[in-house]
Amino acid sequence: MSGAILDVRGLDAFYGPIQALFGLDFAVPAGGVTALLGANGAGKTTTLRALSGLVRRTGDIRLRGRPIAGLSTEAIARLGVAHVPDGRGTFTDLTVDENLRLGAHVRSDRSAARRDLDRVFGYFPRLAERRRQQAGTLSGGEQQMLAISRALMMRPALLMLDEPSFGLAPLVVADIFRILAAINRDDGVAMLIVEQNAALALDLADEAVLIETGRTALSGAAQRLRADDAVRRAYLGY
Amino acid sequence: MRLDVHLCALVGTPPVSAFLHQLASGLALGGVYAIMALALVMIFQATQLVNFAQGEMAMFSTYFAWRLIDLGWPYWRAFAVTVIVSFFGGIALERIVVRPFANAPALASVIVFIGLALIFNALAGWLYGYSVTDFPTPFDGPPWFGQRYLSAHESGAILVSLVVLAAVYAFFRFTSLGLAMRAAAQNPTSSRLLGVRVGWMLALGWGLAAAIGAIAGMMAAPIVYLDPNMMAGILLYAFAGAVLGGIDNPFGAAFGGFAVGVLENLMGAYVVGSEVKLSVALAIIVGVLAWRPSGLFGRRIVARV
Repeated sequence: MSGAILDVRGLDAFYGPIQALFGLDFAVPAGGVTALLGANGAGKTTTLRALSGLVRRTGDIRLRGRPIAGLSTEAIARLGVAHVPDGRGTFTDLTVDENLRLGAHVRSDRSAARRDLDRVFGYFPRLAERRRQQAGTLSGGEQQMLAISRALMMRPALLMLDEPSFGLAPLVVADIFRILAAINRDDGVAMLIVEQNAALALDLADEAVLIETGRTALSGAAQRLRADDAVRRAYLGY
Repeated sequence: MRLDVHLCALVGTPPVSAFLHQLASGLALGGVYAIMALALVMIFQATQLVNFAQGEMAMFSTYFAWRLIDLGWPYWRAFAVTVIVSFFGGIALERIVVRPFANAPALASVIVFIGLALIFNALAGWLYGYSVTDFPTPFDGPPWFGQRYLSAHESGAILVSLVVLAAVYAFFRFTSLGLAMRAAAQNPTSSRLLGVRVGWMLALGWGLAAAIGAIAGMMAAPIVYLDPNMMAGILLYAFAGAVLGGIDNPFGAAFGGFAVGVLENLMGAYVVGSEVKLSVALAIIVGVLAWRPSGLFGRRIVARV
């Protein structure tokens, strides 16, 4: 696929001897949003972990055409893949400020990083108020905002989000998805988003991939999946 | 005539000033314990393991410095080179010896640490012999500030400890490398996802621990004298201090180190004599831990999920 920021072909992933993904194919278009949908245990989180090199994987993974399947997690992050993991990966003992500074750890452009800090505080003013606070004392929603902000501090080419709505109140979720849409629109950050809440994800996404037991069940334009009867019954619930 | 009065006072040593003397010289070795405790905490925070070889590594560094001084090097040059060599030695140890056991059960790592301790001890004995040797101090001369509670070396050792503790604090608190090391220790996966090279952070931690351990050894040696077993007791006290203060809290560990030094000295002077002061000091520590299992300053993190 031309113009894809991320192109995945035949992705297999393994937990020890157990194979969890079987030949997934999908792409994230440049500046676009791709949603990974599926039931619990289908392999959505595993897909992100495989892309980041946190689990053993084989297949062809290309970031802007460059193969990354053989690289370490650190190296992939340094190439511009920002992975907001499930559970948010908060450094609970560090302050909000320190969490954000870690996002810019691999960058050398200090003044640009400072501007990005102002930018994420613009998106999430609540974090600015809590800069000096220990991150573990933030609410779940605030920690999710912090995780997204920390990832944005990397100036990523691709933002991978694992269930950003998990465990949050509906109003907070709506807020976060509104801001994600703004980030995608204003900054052109491409996103790969894993969501249980299919309706929410399909609203944001251009493309969608439905995963069932580690295999691609369906993929295509988000609009088309939304209209698909089977998807609607199984994942949208109407 | 005034001089005579003064001398009489010294000979008779009034109780208060004797007490102050014991207290102050407890702080000198306490500073050494504090640095060693901090070295233990550094490794513990990243791996949840106590490096039992930390003391023998420091002893070996001290012999290295002694060798340089023996060759005619000026003290501070030997000091600096020893700290740098120890730093890289610590990194090399982690990369070559410790790294292969990164995913091994904790007990395997404990065996590796004990093995390292025995190897360094035997190596020092083989290279330098087991006889007890003098070790020079850069802080010669009359006591500082005209006081009579601390020798010049004891004052210098306390000063050096405080400088080391402040430098380590500033490094972890204010530099981005220090921040990355804290992050790597706390949440390795999250750190890797941000591009932090977690493996190197751990190696760096070993390097730093070895470097400050070397300083502790060089400050302790003029007091306890140099021999291959010089650090055995010191490491035990440092470990006790770390646990007393809270082994997950660098500030607490350093405080614990000082506290144990003072406690040890006062026990030895006033309560039980120096033969059993170790057991009494440890008994007190056990008592404190029974009351506060995570140490005086142990983790009480407030967190919401």
